Amino acid sequence: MKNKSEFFVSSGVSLTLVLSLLWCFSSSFSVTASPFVVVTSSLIFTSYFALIAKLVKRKLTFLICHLVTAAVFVFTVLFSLESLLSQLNYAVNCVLEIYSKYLPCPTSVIFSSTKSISADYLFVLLSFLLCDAFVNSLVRIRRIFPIIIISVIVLVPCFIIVDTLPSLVPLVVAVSLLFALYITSFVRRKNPAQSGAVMLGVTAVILVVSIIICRIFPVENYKRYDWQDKMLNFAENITGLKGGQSSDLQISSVGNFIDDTEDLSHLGKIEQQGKKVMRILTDKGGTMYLKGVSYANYSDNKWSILTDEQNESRPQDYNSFTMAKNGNETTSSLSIITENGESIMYTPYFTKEIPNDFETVSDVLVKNKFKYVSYELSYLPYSENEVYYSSATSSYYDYKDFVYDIYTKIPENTSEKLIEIGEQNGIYLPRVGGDENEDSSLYGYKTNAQFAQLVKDFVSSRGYYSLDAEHMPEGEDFPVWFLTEAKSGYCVHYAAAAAAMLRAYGVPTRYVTGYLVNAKAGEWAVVTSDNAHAWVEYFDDEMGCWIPLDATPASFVPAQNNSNTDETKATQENLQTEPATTVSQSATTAAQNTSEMPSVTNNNSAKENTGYGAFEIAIAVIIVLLLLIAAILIRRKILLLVRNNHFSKGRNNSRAIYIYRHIESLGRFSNNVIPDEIKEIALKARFSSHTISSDELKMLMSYHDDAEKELLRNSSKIKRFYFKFILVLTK
Amino acid sequence: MIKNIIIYLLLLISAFVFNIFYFGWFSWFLLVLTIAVPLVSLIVSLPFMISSTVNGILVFTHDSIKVGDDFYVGVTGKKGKTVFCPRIKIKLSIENEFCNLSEKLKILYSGTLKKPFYTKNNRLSKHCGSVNITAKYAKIYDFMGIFFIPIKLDCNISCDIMPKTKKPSVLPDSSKISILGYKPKNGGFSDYYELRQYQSGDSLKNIHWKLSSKYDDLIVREPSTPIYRQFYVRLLFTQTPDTNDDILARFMYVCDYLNKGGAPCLVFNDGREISAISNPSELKEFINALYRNQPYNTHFADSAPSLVYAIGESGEEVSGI
Repeated sequence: MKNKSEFFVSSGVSLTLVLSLLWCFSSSFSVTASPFVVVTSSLIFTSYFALIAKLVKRKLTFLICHLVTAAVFVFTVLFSLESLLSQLNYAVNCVLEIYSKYLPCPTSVIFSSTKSISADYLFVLLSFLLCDAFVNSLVRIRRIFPIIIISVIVLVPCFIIVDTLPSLVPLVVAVSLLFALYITSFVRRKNPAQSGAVMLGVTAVILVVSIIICRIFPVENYKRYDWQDKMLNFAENITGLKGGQSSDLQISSVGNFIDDTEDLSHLGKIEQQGKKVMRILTDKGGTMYLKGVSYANYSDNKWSILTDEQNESRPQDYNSFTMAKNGNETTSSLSIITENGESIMYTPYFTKEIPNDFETVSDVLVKNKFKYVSYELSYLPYSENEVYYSSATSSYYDYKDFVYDIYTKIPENTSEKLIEIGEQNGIYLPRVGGDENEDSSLYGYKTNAQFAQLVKDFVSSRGYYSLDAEHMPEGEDFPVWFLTEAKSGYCVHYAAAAAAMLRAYGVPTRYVTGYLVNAKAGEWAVVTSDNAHAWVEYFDDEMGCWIPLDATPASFVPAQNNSNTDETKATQENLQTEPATTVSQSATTAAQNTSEMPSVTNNNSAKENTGYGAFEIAIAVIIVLLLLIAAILIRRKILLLVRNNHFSKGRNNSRAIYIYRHIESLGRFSNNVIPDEIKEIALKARFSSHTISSDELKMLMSYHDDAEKELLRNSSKIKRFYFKFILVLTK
Repeated sequence: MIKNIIIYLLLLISAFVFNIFYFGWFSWFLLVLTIAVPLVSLIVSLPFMISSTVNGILVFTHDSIKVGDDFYVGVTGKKGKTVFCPRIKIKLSIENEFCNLSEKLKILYSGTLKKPFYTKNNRLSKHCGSVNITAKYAKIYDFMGIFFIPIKLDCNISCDIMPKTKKPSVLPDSSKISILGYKPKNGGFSDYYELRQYQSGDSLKNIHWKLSSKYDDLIVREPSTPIYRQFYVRLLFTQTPDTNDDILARFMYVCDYLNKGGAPCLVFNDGREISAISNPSELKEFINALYRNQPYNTHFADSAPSLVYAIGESGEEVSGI
């Protein structure tokens, strides 16, 4: 066997690339598969296809080998079709679950329910196809174009469209390998004998460079630069498109980046996936609620956020997210590092101050405008014994009116039924008068906090906590159904029912989603998707703030948050040595340069303030020109490939006809008269039953080459450019 | 190379745009890696590039081949050391004045230059003529083909594309190439001798002793040369290289035919100059001179009765002068 080193290195690179891509796909969409099965099958497929690609020289034999392999594989698939389809269903569901977030539908879209919990067969099938494509591209035809195209097709949906990020290790490995292949493509084509060693060396160097880049720019400390935001702003202004990252304080735009509605009618069994979401570090340990979104309106078994109309009556200077405290105001700090730049900021109870680069969207959420992955907050740890108050005391009464107007609304039927259920269980509305025998304490005036405690105790005693919750029958009212018929539920059930019931008793309440974390003081806690939680906030009249109320039974234990000691230390060091990387400080810097901040008010004002500088216009022009050049070159390449294919493949007669047609088109520009013998060959090819001989074909081709060359020689430079790149002549 | 630079710029722009629109760390990593890759490529390639430059490069080709044979241009290291060259690009200017051919040939190679690397280009051996290959510079690139070091080559080599032989439709009549007589040859040896009586001043070496004893008189053997009927070949070249190739192919046959018949092939040029060809080596030299538009072994035609055999585009024609 010739070029052994190239053979082994190419096979190894193909195998690593296939595994990296599959790992990226698996980690992005949380599709589980047995690593042993995938690695083993990929190894077998790579070896098999590499041997065929290397040892089988004749094209026909190679094709037959592939057909036989494909037939064997199809038969194998047919025998396990049921499980394969089931796993395909499972994988599609995993993908759709993440994509649903971006679809105009209230709940997660699923293809069909399935019992499969892994996609081993599916990954084996994918590895078969990828190994075949990659190995043949590298070992046989020595072209990297198909590999790059396939890799991009696999990678792009993993982290661009859904704004998720695959596991970094395979991603970095895959990208490094693609770069190494790109750099060594010339050596591999021109000198296969020595390309193995070169490819190995270059791959090693690129991997080392990648590791160095990872060390210099750690994920934890990543922060976008101002010029990136400026460029984004410029691009958005120039195109008139506003991306998902742009700021827009309209509540109606919140639905573009989060679920603005929580539909309760389709709740059912959920599975814990343990996907890492963020890490937090606080100097005060204990259970911590990280609030994400609060929902204000309840109707038709759905909780939804405030509307723009409702928001108009809200006192705009009242910030319900920040609080102050009477007496000794000891603040704690909270550092959050999210896995991906998310659109919302998670706030603890109670945030002392919202950093400058973050913006509150009414009462709904705090928006992470620039999708910072790392930020720091100072907060006043919530305690039931402490008294908090809003810093905006002047508009407190206006806000209270607003709260009682909006956050107490509930459909009348639901309200009546919930009060009836409540009264059956000893929760009574305050009553004027009444029987003498009645216990006046039951009917006496109660504060919102007292009502909240009573409702919490009642709701949390209903059913038992389970993730395997039953589906609500159609036509039922969710809180009523849950409190009367349901046997089990999880946080969403309890929170939704408690919020509705409190509203029925006239207590301003809202439904909140976020994360519940058990953190140890001074240690990084890992927050996973299992920590996602739902709870209730009720409005405390006396303090003027929203108090969290968790109606989920005590049997519910939040997911344990393990932290990696080394990682913790490293990150702590980073935070200590590079404080500028945190958002709170960058916010300070940004505040000093307010004029450089991207416009967040509205499109019109942004356009008015944006003057296109010469540099920006030059960049735009250069980009357009480069794109144009790229388009011309790609078009030329494709046309040449098609023409060469027509000229070199197929029957001699059809080849001769194609060549003659091209000669005719050349003649139109050069005004040359085509010789009779060439015409005769073309006529023979077109109309005669005889096959054109190789000599005749050569003559035709020779004349074609000469005609092309002559045309180019006799043309001016501009025309030559036109002929070469627009008409695509080769000489 | 412009193409590589454009590809890289497109890659860089893609990474840049991705970084602008994608907020995650990975976009930054990709941008930094894309920026770093050419530098890494340069750093890795630089030792190889410098050693290739120091060792030098040699371009060579065949001395002579026949029309339609495979034409190779070879490249090798001057000092024959094992030097890895990441990417070498040599732009050759190729000219064939005889068939009015002029074109550029690019040689791209990667690998060690211990053994020669050959580039095949059969287009250059398609027509007769002397192919002159010149190159002033070669460029040693890095792996990505973006940075380069130029090397002075001063390469000026040539290869003669000889015609193949082809039998003409009309061959010269052998009877018309007969020996008309002999004339004395000034010294030396010859296949033909004249016998005559000894005269004063003749060399004793030339006395034919056997015949002298037979006739009892001194007989001298004088070297002579035959007087052939003058047979001129005229080549009627055209502007079409294919036709010229055909004419030369027929001329080769005729020349060989005449030489085998014992007669020299006298090529009749303009201005009554003729070139005499008596054997294959002279024929080769004549064609070399023809390709370079230089005179070969020329002398003026004498007044002996002559025939002209013209080889042209439409065939052969025999006529007397």
